Formats: sequence, C-alpha cells, structure tokens
Amino acid sequence: MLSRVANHVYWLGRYLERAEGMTRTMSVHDQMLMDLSEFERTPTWYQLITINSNEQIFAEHFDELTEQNVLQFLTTSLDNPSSIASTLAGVRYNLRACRSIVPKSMYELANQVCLEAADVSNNNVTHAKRRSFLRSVELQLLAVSGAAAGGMSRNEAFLFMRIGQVIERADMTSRILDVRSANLIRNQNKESLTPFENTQWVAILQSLKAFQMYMSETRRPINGPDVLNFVLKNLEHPKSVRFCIQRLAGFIKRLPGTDDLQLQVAQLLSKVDQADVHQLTKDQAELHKFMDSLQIALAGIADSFSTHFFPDPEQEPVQENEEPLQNDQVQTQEQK
Amino acid sequence: MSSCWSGYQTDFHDEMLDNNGKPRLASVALFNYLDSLSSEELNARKQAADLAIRQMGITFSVYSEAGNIDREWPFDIVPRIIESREWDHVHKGLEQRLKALNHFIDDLYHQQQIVKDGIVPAALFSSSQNFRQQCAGVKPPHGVWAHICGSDLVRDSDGVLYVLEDNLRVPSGVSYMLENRAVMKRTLPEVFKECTVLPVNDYIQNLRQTLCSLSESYQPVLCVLTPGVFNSAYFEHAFLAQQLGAVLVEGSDLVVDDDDCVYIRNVEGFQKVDVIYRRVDDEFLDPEVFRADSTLGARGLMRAWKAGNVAIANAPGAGVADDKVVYTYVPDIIRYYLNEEPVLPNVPTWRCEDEESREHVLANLSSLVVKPANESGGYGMLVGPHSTTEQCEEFVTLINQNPRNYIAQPTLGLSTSPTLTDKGIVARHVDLRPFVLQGESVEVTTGGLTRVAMVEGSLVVNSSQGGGSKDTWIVDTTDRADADAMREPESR
Repeated sequence: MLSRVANHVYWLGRYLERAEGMTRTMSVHDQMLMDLSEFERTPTWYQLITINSNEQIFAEHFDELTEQNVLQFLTTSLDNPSSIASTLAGVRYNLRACRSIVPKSMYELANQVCLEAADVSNNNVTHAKRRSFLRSVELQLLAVSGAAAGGMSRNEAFLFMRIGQVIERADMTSRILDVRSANLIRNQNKESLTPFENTQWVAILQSLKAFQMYMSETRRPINGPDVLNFVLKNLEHPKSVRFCIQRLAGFIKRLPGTDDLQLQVAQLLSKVDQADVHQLTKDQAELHKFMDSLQIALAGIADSFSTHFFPDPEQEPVQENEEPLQNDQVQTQEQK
Repeated sequence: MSSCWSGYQTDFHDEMLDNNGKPRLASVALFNYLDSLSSEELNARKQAADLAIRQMGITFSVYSEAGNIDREWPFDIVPRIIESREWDHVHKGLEQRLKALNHFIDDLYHQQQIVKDGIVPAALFSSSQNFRQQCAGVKPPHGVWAHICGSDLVRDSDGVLYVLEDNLRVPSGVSYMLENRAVMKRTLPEVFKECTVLPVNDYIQNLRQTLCSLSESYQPVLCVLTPGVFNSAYFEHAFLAQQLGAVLVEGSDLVVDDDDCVYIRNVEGFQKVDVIYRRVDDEFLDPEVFRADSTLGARGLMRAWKAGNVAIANAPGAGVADDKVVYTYVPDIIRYYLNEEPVLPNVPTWRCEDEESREHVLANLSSLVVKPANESGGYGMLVGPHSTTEQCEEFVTLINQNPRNYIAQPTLGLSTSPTLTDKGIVARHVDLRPFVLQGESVEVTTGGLTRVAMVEGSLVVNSSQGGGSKDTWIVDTTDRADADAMREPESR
C-alpha cells in the first residue's frame, strides 16, 4: 500500500472511531441528564466539551454557556474539531482518498452516514430528533465497522485503519475516565453511593458501551475502583485502555522496522499495568495526572508512528487542507 | 389513466419509436412496461435512482471560481436501446477504426509511410499540437499506442450512426456506463426480465486483460495515475483502480530510479510498477521532457517508458490521432492500412485549412457547427443555428487567424430518446460514447455511455454543461425476430 494512502486510511480509522465515540458519548449523556434531577445537575453538556479539551475554542465562538450553544458546538459546529460534523467531515475526506482500497459496501455506508449527518446539520433539531439522529449515526458507524471487518482482507490497509482506531479509542477512554470521574471521587469515603453518583459511574461504563459486560464480569455493586480497574485494565473488553494498547502492540509488531515503536508501546503497557486503581480513585488530582500522562504517551506513539510511515507526517489530512489546485493544469486533463 | 406516451412527439429520428409512433422491436417490452407505470410511480423511481446515486457516491466535479464542486452524476431512468444486430455492425466498425488509428500512430512515429505515399499531408502532424517528437522511434508492445479509445457516435435524421470524434487521450465516462447499469438494476429491476439486455460488466476484465498484455510479467503491478482528488473525474479514477485491483497513484507517489524503472513508495519500501493507466495528459507526464512546471507526473517517466521498463496506456503521443483534422482522414487511413472499406461513416467535414472549404464554411456559418481541432468537453464551439451574429463574426476572425485549428460540420439532426423530465416523458437529443480497447486483441464495450441533452432542443450533452446520461441497452432481438418469422408458417 502507498504510504500516502496509508496515512489516509490511518486517519480514516481515527475519525471513524472519534465519530463513533462522540455520538455514543452524547447519547449516553443525554440519557443521563434526563435521569438526574434539576438541583443535582452538576454535569452539564459542557462536560463533553471538556472531555475533548475544547473549552477555549468554545469560548472563542460563543459568549453564553447555554444548552443550545453547547449542543450546537458539539453536533454541527465545524469550529469544534471534535464535533460530530467535524469528525464526519474527517471521515469523508479521508474516505475519498482511500476509496479505491476499501470495500465498496464500506464506502457506501460511510458516505451515507456523512450525507445524512450533513442534512441534519442544516436543520435545528429538536430533542427527540436529536436522540434518533445520534442513534442512527451510531448504528450506521457500527455498520461501517462491520463492512470493514467482513469485507476487507487483513492486509496493510486494514492494519493501518485498526491502528488508527485503537489509538483513538484508548485516547477517548482515558479522556472519558478523566472528566467523568472528576466530581465523583470526593464522595468515595461514604459507605454507599448516592443514586446520582451511581448514575455517573454507570455513565462512564455506558459511554464506553461497557456496562453490560462489566456487570456480568464483576458481579459486585458499582464502585469507583472496580469501574476504573475494568475500564483501564480489563484484558477482554475492547474499549478498555489495556485492551487497546495490547492490540496496538500486536499490530505494530507486524510492521517492519518498528523496534523503537514497539518499545514505546511496551512502556505504555507496563505503565497501565502498574497503575494502582485504589490509590487513583482516592485522589482526583492524581487520577487526572495519570490520565494526562497516558494521553501524552499515546500522542507520542502516534507521532512516532506517523513520522516512521508517512511521507509528510506533520500534515494531518483533514478537511482544511482541501483546496483546489491553483493552476489550470487539471482543467485540461480530462475529456468529458 | 393517461398514457405516459400520449404527449410524446419528436421531429427527429427517435431511438425508441418509429415514424408511426410505434415502439421498435427491441423497445416493445420497455415501452409497455413504462406505460404500465403511473406518473407518480415513474417519479418515485426517478427519486429512488437519484438517492442511489447519492448513496453510492457517484459524482463528478465541476470547476468553478469558488473551487471544485462535487455534483451527483445526472442520470435519466429511461434507458436507450440499440438492437444487438445493429450493435454487431457498430462493433466491427469501432474495432476497425481503432486498429487503423493505431497503425497510423505507429507509422507517424516511425517511417511515416502514409505521408510518403501521399495519403495525408506532412503538415497534418507537423502542425498538430499533440504530435510528440520525443516519441519518435519508440516501439510500444504490440505496436499499439492508443489502448483505450472513446469514440463519440451520433445518429442523424437518416437513421445512420456516424462517428463524430475519436477520443484517444484520456477519454472518461466508462465508470458511469458501469454505474448507470448498477443504478438501473436498483431502479427498474422488474424490466430486465422482460428484455434481453446484454451485460456490460465484462469491460473491467477486458481492461485488465488489455493492460496486463502490455507487460511480460506474470502478475504485473498496475497503477491508475490520477491528477488527484480534485480532478473532475477522480470518481472514475478511484472506481477503475478499485475494480481493476490497481494502485491509485498520484505523480508524487512515483519515483524513477537510476535503473530507469518506475517505483511506487509503499509502506514496506519501493515496489516496481509494470503498467501505468494514466489519466494525466501528455504535457504533464514528465517534467524532464514536457512541461517543466508539472507536478502531476513523475520525473523520468519517459526515460522508463522508452527503455521499455514500464508500459503507459495510452502511450505518450497517442493523442496525435485525437485531432479533428486527422479525423477527416480516418476513412482514408482505414483503406490505407487495412485495405478495407470503412464500416462506420464519418460526419461530412470541411477542413478550414483548405481554401475552398474555408470559403464554404465562412459563407455558411449560420448553418454549420464549427469546432476547434483540439478542444474537448464541448468548449470553444460554434453551433451556427443557435448563435448570434456577433458570435458568428467572432468565429470568422478566429478561423481566418488559424484555419488549421478549425473544422466545420453540418448541423446534425441528432436522434432523440424518451427522457423523464418535469413535463413527463419527452424527447431529448442523445449521443453515444462506446469504449474500445486494444492490447493484444481488440474489445468493444457492449453499448457505451449514452449522454442526453436535458434542455429541450439542446444538442449539448456534456455533463459539465448540464447534460445527463442514460443506461444503454444492447437488446438481443434474435429470438423475437425468429419468433416473428416462425409465426407465419405455424399458422398455415
């Protein structure tokens, strides 16, 4: 596979995962807000902006922190690089460049969800419509993954896409853990969780679609250390940080000349293994520090990976780069 | 229920109906089927087709000042039908034409025997913008230069199909031919059972076969060279690469090494390329030889090609035969190289460089179509009957300035084909672009891409200028014709 195309297919994986993560997180958040009573509503939609560290961009574009502004910023705003509209634009842009190597069905499904999202973005959606929109995008993105899993050879293209996906997913999981746990840890010393705290730990699991698997595997009342342990270290759940990095290690091992990268990934893996979940759930500052260092390590791996494989790694292929060629060369190319 | 055909009328030869308004033999089933649908149902099918095209991402890009705009491919759900017996004839004619043109190109870059024998004037190629001196003496595999040719056919009022032009540079449209069929199957699935529509999808295998035949490698590495995602035909480039199992490359992906071989930059290192199906014009192929400012090709590509280390389709320089003045000599070219009479006629054409013809053209501009010799996409043309006096005067100046660059043809009564519009099914003018392949052997598409001028009375079919397209059906009527012939003896 061409290095240039590998770059696009890697970013396709990242954007697909980011889009899926965003829609899923918004869906869960929506449900959670409905469960929380008015006076206890500490987590607002704004929390989702902090998950992606986009507070500053929001402030640049909106004066008021109203629900409508936040929602617009999260769904349709192209100023927010993590909005659903932006991530899907990223999917579409990269998809176009690797159209010739992905299965046709995958292309069509991904194209369809991007078109649908663009249509919805043009309307001001009601709450009910927003819910069904998020659900629909989420399901369609799952179908895209299915088309890839069922239709693509396990070749380099697939490998690069999966690498993009697991890096993005590990990053997303760590961000969700970081932000969602922020106002829970204070109350850890109490005997049992209040229903609302319970709801929020559940929301962490649900944001990762891991609630059901957690319940069947842990068989204990919901509690901070167990949730953190599951989401951070579980060996079998595909959204856990440990699982993603383990996968990443396996993928990278299959690529040539990656000794240094393999070492980097191995270090991250042992960092996760050595984390003390009891200690971390006692102290918000420490947990935040840990998640921060985890994200930095992941970004470092992503950088080394890009530098190693892509011709022009600084240039992340995103929508902004799309400019028509300046010369008239192309115009004369084709006979229509 | 009013019939969708009740208001249908045309002053031209119609592809579906005969002069008495009755469907032609191959079209009977389709005619009746469409008649059985209400106008609501027809429009619903039309919408379903539009949706399918959107979902499948069948697009073309239009250049505008604001940048490139991706548009959905315009498609009309009423197919255009040609009887298989007529097609057999066209098929032969197209084969003959491409063979002769390839002999001609090969001759021009070697002995130029045809000039020495006085069949065509030397000025024909020495004045051609597409003659490449750098290609002289090169011997491409099988002596073939133009491997992929898109010839435009039109049917005049006399019912005869004429060749309007041969596109030998980088003809586009074949992906739309294939996708039109895919959309058609989604849109009107029931009707395929009624009609014996011959399949079109062998094109991809034939193209692969043609490209592979240009390399001696057992499993040649094929590339489709595209100018990039912003090109108007990027959809087609990606489509063909995907279908062929070829690598879709841009110029910057290619490297020509000191060994004069072409390599692509792969994740695992460099890989040698055997065949390049290029969708980039000659001029931009190699900055070492052609335009030095080109970023669309690769430095050294011509060296590699001349050394025989890579095959390029179409070969550099093949465009010399893609010239509307050369076109006027094609019947002579066929007779000269193949010693056969041309199967398909040319449209009668005046060469403005001949003084006598020029006088005729200048005196009759308002009834003629004037075309520049090398433009494509329907640009730079004068359609006399639809032009103002000022436009005609402008062309008088242009022709006098550079007579070699212009030819003129009578305004044809292009045939019409039933087309679904807001006003129901109405007659619209159509042309046809079949694709012909030549490598070790010659192959012709089953039908081709039918383009339709969506505006009433318009003759402009180019998608860049508001034209649409139709699925083209070659319908096998042998059984039905036999059945008709059988009927009488049975009833004795």
